[in-house]
Amino acid sequence: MNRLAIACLALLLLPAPAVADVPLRVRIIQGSRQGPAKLDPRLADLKNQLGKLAYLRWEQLDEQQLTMAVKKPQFVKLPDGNTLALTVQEVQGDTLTVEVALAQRNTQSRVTIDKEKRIVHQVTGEKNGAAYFVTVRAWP
Amino acid sequence: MIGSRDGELTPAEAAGLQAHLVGCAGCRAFQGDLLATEGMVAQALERAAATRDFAPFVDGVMARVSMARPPGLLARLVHQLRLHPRLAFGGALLPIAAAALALFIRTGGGDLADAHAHAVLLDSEGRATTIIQSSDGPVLLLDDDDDGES
Repeated sequence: MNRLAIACLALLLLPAPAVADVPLRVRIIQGSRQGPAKLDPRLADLKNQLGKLAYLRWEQLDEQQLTMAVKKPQFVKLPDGNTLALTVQEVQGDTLTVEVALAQRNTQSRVTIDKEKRIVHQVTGEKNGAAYFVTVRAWP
Repeated sequence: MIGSRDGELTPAEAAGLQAHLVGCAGCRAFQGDLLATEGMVAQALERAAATRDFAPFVDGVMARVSMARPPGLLARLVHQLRLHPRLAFGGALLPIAAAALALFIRTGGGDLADAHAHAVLLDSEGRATTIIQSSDGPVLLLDDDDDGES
């Protein structure tokens, strides 16, 4: 009985296993209200999410594959010259928490999603009927 | 005659009995034997009681109470487990369950983690953000108060 209790205690006190780096697929896209409706074929997997928005034309402007260490931010340049900071805050099993930070807007969003989900986050205000978005998917 | 010993007879019955005894030698003899027997029995009981010394009785009881100390915690636990075998079985499983729970927490997983999926925590200052949930994941929109910005 005592040995079992000691074994349980030791299990609790063991250091947590190191979390491996998380690959992120990051895309910068533009949504526009002008022109005929069109969805960039590269954004077909986002059709369900983008279809909920008022923008008609969707175009992919950039794509990056990032390897993220937990709690280490990486920066992505936006078409308007601003910078987006992405940080994987926590990984638990097949879920992770991503922080999207926009210093220019003084905004931070922490989003927890599971492996198959994607984040679509507006990163600039709308200008001339168009706005930029970032999409994030882990373990693509 | 037997009832007269304890005063159970009414005065009239007692007077009748006395009147009869005066004239009946047999009954007088019987009454004499009866009284003698009662006296002997009473004295015999008193003698028997007197042979037992009750003076150390209290000390003896107290000595036995002090010797009968309550069993220790382990002894009581073993006793209870013998009385309740199902409790003993459950107790044996408890460390295993604790180990499994610890392993589950350390690997961070399963359904608990799924329960947190799609949770959106926003930390923003001065800007409102709209969240649209979908089956493929959340969509987060910035407010429109800065049209024409940048």
